Amino acid sequence: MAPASRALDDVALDDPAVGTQQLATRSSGFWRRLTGMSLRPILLAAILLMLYLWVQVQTLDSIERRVLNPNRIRTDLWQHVQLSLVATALTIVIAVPLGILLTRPFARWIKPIGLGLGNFGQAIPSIGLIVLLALWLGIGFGTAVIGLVVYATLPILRNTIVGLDGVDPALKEAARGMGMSRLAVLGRVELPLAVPVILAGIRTALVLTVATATLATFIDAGGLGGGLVAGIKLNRPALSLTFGVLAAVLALFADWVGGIAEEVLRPRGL
Amino acid sequence: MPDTVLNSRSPSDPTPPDSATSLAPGAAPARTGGATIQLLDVTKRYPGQVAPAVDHITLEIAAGEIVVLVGPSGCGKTTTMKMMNRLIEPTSGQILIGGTDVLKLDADEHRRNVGYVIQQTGLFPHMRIAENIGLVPRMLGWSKRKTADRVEELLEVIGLPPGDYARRYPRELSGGEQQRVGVARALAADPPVMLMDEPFGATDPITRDRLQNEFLRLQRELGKTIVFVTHDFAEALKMGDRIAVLGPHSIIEQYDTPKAILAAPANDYVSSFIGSGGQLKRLGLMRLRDAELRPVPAHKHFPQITIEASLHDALDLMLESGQSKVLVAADESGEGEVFGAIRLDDLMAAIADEPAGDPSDDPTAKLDPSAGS
Repeated sequence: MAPASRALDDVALDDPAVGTQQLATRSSGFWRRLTGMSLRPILLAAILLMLYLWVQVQTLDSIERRVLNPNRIRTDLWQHVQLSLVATALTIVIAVPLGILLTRPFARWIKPIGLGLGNFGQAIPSIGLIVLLALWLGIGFGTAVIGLVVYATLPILRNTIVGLDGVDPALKEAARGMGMSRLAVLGRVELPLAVPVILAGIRTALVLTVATATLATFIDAGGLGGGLVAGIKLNRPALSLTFGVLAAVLALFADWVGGIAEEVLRPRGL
Repeated sequence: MPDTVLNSRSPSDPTPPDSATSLAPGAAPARTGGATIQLLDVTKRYPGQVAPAVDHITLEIAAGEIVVLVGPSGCGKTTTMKMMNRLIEPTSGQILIGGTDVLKLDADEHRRNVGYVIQQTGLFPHMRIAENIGLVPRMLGWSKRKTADRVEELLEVIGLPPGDYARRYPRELSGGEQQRVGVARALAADPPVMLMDEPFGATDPITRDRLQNEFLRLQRELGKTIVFVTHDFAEALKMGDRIAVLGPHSIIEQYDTPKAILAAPANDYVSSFIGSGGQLKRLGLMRLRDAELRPVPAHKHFPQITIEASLHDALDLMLESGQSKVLVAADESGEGEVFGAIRLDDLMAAIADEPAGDPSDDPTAKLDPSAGS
């Protein structure tokens, strides 16, 4: 527990008196959570190692060898990461401002509609959504990203709304009463206080996107889904297993990164 | 005689606070005094409601006074107050502060010039104490340096050493400390007017009593115009230079000094608000210092009471000791100088004689009236 004790020392230097107890407790909790989190990458690395060793002892035929080569895997992985990151970034850019808009007093009446659309996006089967979009917009990276954005909007939208609605009305009124403009109240009080909830939504959306991006292969947008589907179609379980495990590890890794971001970006003092 | 000592201090006295746990006065230069507040025929009507929340209220608050709006919950007292900083816009009527029609000002800018303290402090949990206090000065365009100096000064005034407290977060402070910071934040830009919405309502009785005393002491130096909302009549008696007892729709049932309201409640509604023991509460507002004392008797075998106490305290001592006469001295020890004596019938005479609503009432001559309840 070296990190924890160091945190305690830092705190003690910072705040010598009354509040130290509370802050120290929180701080050690913070470090304990981060320590717990450091287990995840070790575990994931172990899984990858096992997968690698397992593939090494298999006798692969020519088809399997063609797919299971480092270059192909690297390309698919990179495409998958690109798809996920671009889609998540776009989702954030769309859903967070939309959530902010829907929580403004003048837009309260459309909030159910906005949430309804988000629910709708998530309720349609993702494979159907992506295929339908491809029929409409053509195949490729862009269409896949749009499908992923539609699919992942809900968690971020909902958490943005819940987070902003959860800010103590007394605090908002205190801010207004001090002479902050509506924009200042949003930027300096509401959003910082809603950050933990919004980040949780983003983390959920990110994991969802990484998992769903395996479907992008159906509309020729690449990603780890390619090897997985090939394995099923060609009756080569080694391919399905390898790419399936890779996709799962990537999703768990994304979740881990999201967790770190939540810890680091959460405003202090909360 | 702590009060006299404090009052005699010059406002710019640089003496640092000597106690770390009190709103130590002396360090806060009173730069801006109070401004008058006038509500002229102000009405607030919410759409879809038949009865107005506030019905044609006209109220004038003198500069430098604490006026308490007291009434049951839902009577519109908070609405009335929030119209003064335009958190709620009046439907009709005029609101003048220092002669300026505030309804013609930019609402945000107007609010920056009116201090605002709410129950549960309203401190922003994600900002350090220094940031919380410095918010309004920064919005008003003060430099970082000037703001930091002001924050430090105010932390000294409320008895929280800046070295310890400036960089803490609100949750690392006790409830009482948070409430002090709330007051400091409202004072940060030195506004002439402060609005306080049940500011001490969420604290325990002991802390509340201390915060009230500290605030009264501070106000004696600052001389701000303060509108104070509470539903607690004992608090109103203690804090108010004047009390406006409000009925439904914020109709003023009586607007007068605490003594005058106790001596002559305007109607049954006000009487019911005062509750039982009204005369005892009046005694609580009268000080031995202001009473006419009898000469010191030859026998000094009577219990002694300090001249700083109230007539209510004297009565209490009589009942406790079974004597109908007590000696009034510099202190209770029996060592200090004895100024005179007071008898049970003197107390009765004081209640009977005191003219109701005497305009010459010293508004600062307040002692703890809650002793009577």
